[in-house]
Amino acid sequence: MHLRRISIENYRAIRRLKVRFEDGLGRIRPVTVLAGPNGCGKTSILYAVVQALRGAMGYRTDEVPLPHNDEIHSSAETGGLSPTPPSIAVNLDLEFSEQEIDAIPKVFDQTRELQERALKVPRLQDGRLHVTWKYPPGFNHDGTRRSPAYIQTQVTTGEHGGATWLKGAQFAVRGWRQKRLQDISLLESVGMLKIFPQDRGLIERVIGAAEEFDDTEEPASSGPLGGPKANRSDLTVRDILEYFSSYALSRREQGLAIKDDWERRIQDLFARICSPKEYLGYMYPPNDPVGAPYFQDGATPYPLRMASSGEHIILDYLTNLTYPRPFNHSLILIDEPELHLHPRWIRQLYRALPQMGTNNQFILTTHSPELRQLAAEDGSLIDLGALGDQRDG
Amino acid sequence: MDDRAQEIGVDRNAYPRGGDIAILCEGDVVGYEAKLLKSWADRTLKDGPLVDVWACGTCTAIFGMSDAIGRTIPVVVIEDKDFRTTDEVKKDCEHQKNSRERRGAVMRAWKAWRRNEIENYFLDFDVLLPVVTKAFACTEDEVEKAVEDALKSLVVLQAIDYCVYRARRVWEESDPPVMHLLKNIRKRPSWEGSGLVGPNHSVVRRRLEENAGTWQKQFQTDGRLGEPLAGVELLAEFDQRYGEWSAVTLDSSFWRTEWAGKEVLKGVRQLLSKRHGWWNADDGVREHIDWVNMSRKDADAVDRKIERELLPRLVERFLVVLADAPEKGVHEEFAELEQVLRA
Repeated sequence: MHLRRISIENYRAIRRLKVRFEDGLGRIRPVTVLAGPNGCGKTSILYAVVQALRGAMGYRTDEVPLPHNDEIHSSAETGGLSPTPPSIAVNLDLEFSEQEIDAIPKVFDQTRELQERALKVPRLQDGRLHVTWKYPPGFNHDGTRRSPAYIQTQVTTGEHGGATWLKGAQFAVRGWRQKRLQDISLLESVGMLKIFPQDRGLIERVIGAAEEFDDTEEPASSGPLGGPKANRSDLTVRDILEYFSSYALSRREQGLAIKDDWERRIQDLFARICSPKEYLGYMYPPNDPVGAPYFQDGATPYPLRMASSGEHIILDYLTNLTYPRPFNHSLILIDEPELHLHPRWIRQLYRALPQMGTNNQFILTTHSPELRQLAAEDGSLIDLGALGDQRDG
Repeated sequence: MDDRAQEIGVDRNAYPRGGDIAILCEGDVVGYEAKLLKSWADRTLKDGPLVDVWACGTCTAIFGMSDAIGRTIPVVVIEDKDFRTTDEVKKDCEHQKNSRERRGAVMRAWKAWRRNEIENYFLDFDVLLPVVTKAFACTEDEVEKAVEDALKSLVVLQAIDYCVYRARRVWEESDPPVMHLLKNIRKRPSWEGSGLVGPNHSVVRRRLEENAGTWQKQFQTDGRLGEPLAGVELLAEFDQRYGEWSAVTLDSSFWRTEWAGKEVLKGVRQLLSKRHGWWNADDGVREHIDWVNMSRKDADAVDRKIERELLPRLVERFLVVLADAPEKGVHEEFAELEQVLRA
């Protein structure tokens, strides 16, 4: 699922803004970089996408706070400190890939989610879906104001019920966990939404606390997608790397082919971005039965704890786009990816993005001259103005 | 760091970019050269020096830029070959490199593309066809036909640009301006129906002869010494080039290497957008571009818009071909450049 256009009104820093993610040939750009001064609304755009889709897609994230009245833009023109401030309105034009259009009805069919609700697969015109999100959502039938945490999503398509298409990924994951989904490859054919915030809690996300590490679980026998840890929501990058390694090792020991060698994939992408450094894999040096992810710089190996913040953040991207299922056909939002990165790694990360998964759409924000320049050369930069500009689109 | 850079007390911290070495090239900052060289260096030199690419616009500006940053960071220059011979390029490059080094710049190399200009590298069909067929929603045969039509319409333009370039090489622009040679000459192709037609050769030649005569008289009346390129020689050059190049076909090799490639690409863009249309993202339809009824300013603006979309796709495709199945000469050229940057 890709985002073609967005319009935002009265959300955080934005009074009124329309952004198109297409190139001059009408194709959705695989990577778009949003640039502009502090307070121009770059992060607000990413958050608006999440707010508009989180409810409809079942996307659970703590990275974007639930909507709150304080987030309603309240410049003098829109009411200032008026007791009746305007509403937030976010409109998204989404587009599903051919693979998704093929896969999502199969997900519905295999998981029986729609049948149980006596619903049919709604028709989707040209693979496109228009989504509107408004906040506050208004009043209940009895005249009381709806809960501020309530997220209203209205979906307009050629046929009633088009919002169901947004449930594809949620139903697929649930069906897989409930063992209803027979064709596990469908998980990789349905796009999802993912946001990488700035580096809040980076160390905890990547390494976690050693005492929290749980090595009692058995390695999975059904591949990375079937691992028992997939149900855990507090997995660190370290845990995931250990899991990939265990999976590959157990397959090798059993003399079985490794269908999806995610450890190798992460090694390749890591080398591509962080060259000349390499990710060696999860290793168990003498006197360390717990082990750790190990890296190499020249001939010197070192564990994850010794790795730089730049290496941590790259691993965060690579593992989270791979586990518990690979992100393909997805919409991935990254807020200021340049943090912690050397200019060369920024360049290499930017170049490697299209290799992270298949047919993903990345929307990045940046203050980095490097990233801004790279994007400008590709025609994928959206400049949201200079310092002092009004954000009225 | 280069020994020479250390000798003259280089302070990298004063350098406004993050790189270890700078490539200076022609073209604008979002032009083909800058885009190609940056993307190529990022992929090729992952374990080598971090390269910054500075697009300087013209070759003249490269002098100034090499002075400005060449004392802070090692510089490699790549300029257009234009209509020079290989020997001339070699001699020119040595001269330029030495002259900048005498001024204290750390010049790692001063090179020129082996083809006329960077756009020529996108004329190989392995590069051009996949990009253009997709962008204009047409077949390979239709692209080849457009290339053929563009080539035929450009013979006079290429021949006359060749002559003027040669004249400019031997005469300073102020002695008197070489541009006087082009007075009242319409050298660009024009639209007739859905095709581009080159200017009438005999009309162009007659005017060139008149202009060359006038031009030459200015030297004589000014009492200047010597005539490195007399009007009669210039006409002979024009006749020779026109004679050779008017037989151009898709199979000829010279148009990919010796002609100014940007003109060929422009002709192909315009022919295909006229015949097959160009996507209008605003209303989601493909529109046939009516170049005939457009002012030059408007036409340039529309053409730039199309070029802006094709540019990154052509560069990307070129790099894929370079990595997978490069043409031998092109492969050698980029391997040499890599060697210079790694040195």
